[in-house]
Amino acid sequence: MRYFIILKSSTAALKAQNTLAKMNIRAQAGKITAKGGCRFGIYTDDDADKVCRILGLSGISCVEIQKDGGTG
Amino acid sequence: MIYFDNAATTYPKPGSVIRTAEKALSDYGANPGRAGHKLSLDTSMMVFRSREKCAEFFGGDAENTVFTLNCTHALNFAIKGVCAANGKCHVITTDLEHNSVIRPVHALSEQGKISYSIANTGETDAELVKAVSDLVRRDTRVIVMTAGCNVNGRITPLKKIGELCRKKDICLIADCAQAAGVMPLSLSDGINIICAPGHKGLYGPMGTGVMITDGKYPLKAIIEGGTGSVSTEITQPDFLPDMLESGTINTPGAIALGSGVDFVRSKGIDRIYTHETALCSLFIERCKKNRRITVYRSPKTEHYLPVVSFNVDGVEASELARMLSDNGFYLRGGFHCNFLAHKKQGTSDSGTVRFAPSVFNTRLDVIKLTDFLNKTFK
Repeated sequence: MRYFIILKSSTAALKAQNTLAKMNIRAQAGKITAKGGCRFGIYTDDDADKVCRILGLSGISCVEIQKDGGTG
Repeated sequence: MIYFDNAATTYPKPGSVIRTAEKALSDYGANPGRAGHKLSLDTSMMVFRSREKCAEFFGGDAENTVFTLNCTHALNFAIKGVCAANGKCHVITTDLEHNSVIRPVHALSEQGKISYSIANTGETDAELVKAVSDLVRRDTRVIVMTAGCNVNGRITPLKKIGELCRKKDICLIADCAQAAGVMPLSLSDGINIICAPGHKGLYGPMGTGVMITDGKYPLKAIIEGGTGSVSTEITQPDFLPDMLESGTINTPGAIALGSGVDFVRSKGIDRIYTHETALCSLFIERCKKNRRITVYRSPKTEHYLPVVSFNVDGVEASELARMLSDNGFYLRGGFHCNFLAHKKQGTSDSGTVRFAPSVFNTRLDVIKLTDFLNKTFK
């Protein structure tokens, strides 16, 4: 299952991508159109809840988890 | 040509900065933080890496690091942003401040949004701390002051002011225009918001600066617009850096600034300070022999940045700077956008000429300048 995890900002998405890369978790920053307009976040094939817990430990809050990668 | 106007902007820039700016212009030309296509995301990553470098350099976090056009821009965001979030309050600043501090503070006062006091900093650290401390009131919410004066180079005891601010729950905003890249500065020193230019001691391009906050004190945006985020909302995003980065940032500048920070790190701040301070000492020593030259430094003041203000008796500062320019020495003459410091040191009539070396200047450069001064003005 592929997920798109919405994060606060483009900067947060890039920070998340780098943070996860250091832990060998593949994630790619991206943008979707969602409630509130354009939102940035990360695409991941990993367990989204686990990814969010890891990001939370690094001070990055997940705003929303979407299945199937959003609209890209 | 020998360039000693590095307190206004450093020149030359390191080759690595120039190459990075060129690469940014040629290879990272999409708008960062706007689109989801690869080039935009790649450009965003380059900007992010630079943001991380700036954040780490000042002990901050990338998300709380805002790219600005310069230090003045950063100071306006910080001063007006914190005051707007606080409501009407009292602000303390000092008599060493550049117009980039005193003008926004005064403008807020004129608009009835704050009241402010200017501390008479005396000549010593103890006098400065006491003067600031004595001005603290129950409604004081912000202290904004320079890390080092751009006219005479005096370094202020920011750590001690930081301790005072922590005890009194006051936001400390530091104008690091002259000090960034020359002396260690960190949010961990008790500074809540660091404002710094990219184009001076960090050796980045002009049109760059940073505002880095520890996030303790809320800010409000002072300009609104497109951020690439939450686009269907009519209100400005309330999160950093987007809240303060409306409109497209100076992308090649921001990316190249990261190389400037790398350059400073590779040289070492301590080594840069030692080198430039030694050049200032040489300049002062060689000028001392000339009775017509006055150097504006107090023996009581503990620490100075590598910036020296001086005058030649009988020659107006701007005229002296012009004469020096005609002979290949590029220094700035005048008021250096800081009438308060000139008033304090008694040079408010015609200002001073400012000697400000960089890491690229040599002892020979200083000897050539002082030889010219001593031969021309006997």
